[in-house]
Amino acid sequence: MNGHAFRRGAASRAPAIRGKILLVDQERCDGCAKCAEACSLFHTGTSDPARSRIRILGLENHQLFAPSTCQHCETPFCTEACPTRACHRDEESHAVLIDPEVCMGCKTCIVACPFGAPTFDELEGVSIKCDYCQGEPQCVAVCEPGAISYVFSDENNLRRRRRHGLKVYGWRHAASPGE
Amino acid sequence: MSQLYGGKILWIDLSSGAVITKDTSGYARNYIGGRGINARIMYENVGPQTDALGPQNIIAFGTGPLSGTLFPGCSRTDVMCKSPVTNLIANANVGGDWAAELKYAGFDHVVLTGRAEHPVYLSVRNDIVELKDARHLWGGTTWDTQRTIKAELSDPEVKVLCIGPAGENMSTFATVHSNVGNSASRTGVGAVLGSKNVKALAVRGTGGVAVADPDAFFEACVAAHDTIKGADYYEELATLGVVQAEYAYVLSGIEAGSDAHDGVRDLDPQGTTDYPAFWKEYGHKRTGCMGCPVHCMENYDVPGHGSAVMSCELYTQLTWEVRNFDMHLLYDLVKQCMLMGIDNTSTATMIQFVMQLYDLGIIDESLTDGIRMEWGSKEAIHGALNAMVLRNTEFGDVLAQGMKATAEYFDSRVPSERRGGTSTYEHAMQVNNNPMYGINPRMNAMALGYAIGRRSDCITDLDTNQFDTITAPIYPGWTEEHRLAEVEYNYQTARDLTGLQNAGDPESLEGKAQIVHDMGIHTGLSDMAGTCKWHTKWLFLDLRPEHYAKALTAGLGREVSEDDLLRASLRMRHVERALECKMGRRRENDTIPAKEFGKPVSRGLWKGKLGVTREQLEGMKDEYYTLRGWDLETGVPTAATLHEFGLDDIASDLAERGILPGWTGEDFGR
Repeated sequence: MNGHAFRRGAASRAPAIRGKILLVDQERCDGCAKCAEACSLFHTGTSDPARSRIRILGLENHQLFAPSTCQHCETPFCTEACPTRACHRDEESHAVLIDPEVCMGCKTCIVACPFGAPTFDELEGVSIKCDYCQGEPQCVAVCEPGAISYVFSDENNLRRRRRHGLKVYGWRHAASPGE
Repeated sequence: MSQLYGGKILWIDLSSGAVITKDTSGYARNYIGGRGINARIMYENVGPQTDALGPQNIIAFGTGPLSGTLFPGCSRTDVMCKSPVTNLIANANVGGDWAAELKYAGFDHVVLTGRAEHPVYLSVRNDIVELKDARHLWGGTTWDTQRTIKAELSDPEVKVLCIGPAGENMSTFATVHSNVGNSASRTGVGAVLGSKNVKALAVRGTGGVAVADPDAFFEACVAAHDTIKGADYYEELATLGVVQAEYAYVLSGIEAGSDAHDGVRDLDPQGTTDYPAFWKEYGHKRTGCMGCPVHCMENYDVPGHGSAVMSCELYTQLTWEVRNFDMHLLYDLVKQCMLMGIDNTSTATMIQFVMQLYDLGIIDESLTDGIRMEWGSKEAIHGALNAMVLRNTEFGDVLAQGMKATAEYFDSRVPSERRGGTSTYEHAMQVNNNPMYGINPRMNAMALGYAIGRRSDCITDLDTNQFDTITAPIYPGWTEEHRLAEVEYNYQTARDLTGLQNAGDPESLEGKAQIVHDMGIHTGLSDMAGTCKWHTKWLFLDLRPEHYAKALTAGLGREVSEDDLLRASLRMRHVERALECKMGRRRENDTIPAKEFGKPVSRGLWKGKLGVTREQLEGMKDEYYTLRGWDLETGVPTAATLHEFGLDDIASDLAERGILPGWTGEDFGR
């Protein structure tokens, strides 16, 4: 596994890290859905992709896949629309979160979000979405092909840029192993 | 919903439309799930009189306790029914994501009996179970069917198992298909579904799988993933890809090294089946089933043919078996097989059979609808494939009924002297009428695997092993040192397993039965758990019973020991064997084609060597039966063995039928 998977409910949970974002490289995704399994196991204690904060979008007949989750927008529609302010921006980590204690289950955030990120959890009766697992996203920990990473925003897409740069400039064959 | 299980078996009588549910718990402790529970259900419901394509046959789709969880390879659905090919058990296994979805809907198994009046498809959405009209879907390809059902149910997340035109026409090699390239292919499960007028099973579930101790379960799953990724063979499989591995097998003569290839000095003079070049040109991504770190399927986009996937068997069958060296034609055929829902392996072996008879001058175009069945001919392969799927001609109709029917058809029309006084069936590469896979039966352990496997098929069957095959290949780019290191690793693994010095040596007979026996237990365990058997020791990916025990203990919240699991796996095998024996299988049926005995491997690393003889195979069988606790004379599980595994009811059933060995008329053990 790529990272350290830590125990649910452990006292040492750190908050999400300011400046870090979840980055998806859909070219690497093989559609195995371990991210959704790990996410639901972490957040709900059951293996249930329907209650996962991350989902795989698939165009199965072409075997094209992409993980989809909350983008933690700078101007989030969900926080604008939320009547109870359950959807809010966390000052410390800068993440967009939903406070389940405050959420009244009106589903307005689901309507508002242009990416379809929030989901309604039927069992708990609240909206749910990615909270970066308090700084150690479980989807990243289990993503074997490395399609999801949790990086500082200035590292944004550097890997993919490099890969495409090598291709475009014809350096691919000259690159040393591991590049 | 109970821990790790959906908790219910969905039992549908298609004739009356009656839907009932049964509890899984009655079966779960002894048979775990998946293939184990399927085997028990089969024993209770089918017998020698059951017509495989009649309404009294039942077909069971089973998931295991680890299906749909974070455990690696959690994707498998085990499909079991009576086989129209062998008239014994049909058993095949399909990946993808259907199994997980069924669990999320709250069911572990779906069992279908009877026959629907008109084409229907089953729709399960959590606890809403409906049989919907499928007349408009009849005739559609597997991909179109899935697309239409998803649109019709207005849910792109619906997971579908379906049959293609081959299954509708009850071509005995029809598959049950899912997604792009996932299918339960062998032994005719698609034909049985077609005979029941069921086009598809569409499932959507949102319930999830409960886990008793999520933290411990998470850790057990992560440990299992790490074990696989750290395994010696992982690199070859996940990075080079399985097709690359197959390519190496073919170069080494492990595949395509049997009778049909004997006369061919250099099978591919132009190197056009150069798979690595094809992958480099058109491949775009490797993908896998749900929860799998291996991603064995390779995705291509070929101009003029569109996108499709290829995996191991697909590559070797419609190339080397039929001497087709055009990769574009292969790709086209593979895609055709997927869309039509027909088994690639059986199709290739059937066509090979006919082509060989044509080549030997035994048959001519008058018996093949005017198709000139020349080796590698595009028209011949396409023609025979279409005929098998559609059954619209006399030739196609007999091909679709299998090898025996085809041989009888030729025998009745070709004078005896042209056949050399023997039946054309002698030329068929079959075990119990099931067309063989391309792996060479002339290798000791492979011959045993073919002979005793429950569906008479070697590589994806349970009772076989990879030691003989992995020992030899030369991967492109490997140095001799690398290969020797790999050989030594395999020898050592075989030594560790059996305690015998030469057990890993393909030329030795030592320990082969023991290895085959042990691998059978391991792969059986993964089949019961609902996970992919590729991840077990069978393919050197090193998932051991302890990994399953740990995950099941954490998930179920009660202690599950390794010993429980191994015993359950053995118990399942005894049930399957007892069922096969009930249907008529005996020791003499456990064999390979007579023509293969004593002939050395024709190409590659082992050229001129190996070549198992009948006596050698019989010796290995003795050893194997002794390990299993089956009767040496008949191959039927003995009363003592059945009693040891708590299968007294099966023993009394066999005794009533007069086939229980060592039964003296007493009430055994009770």
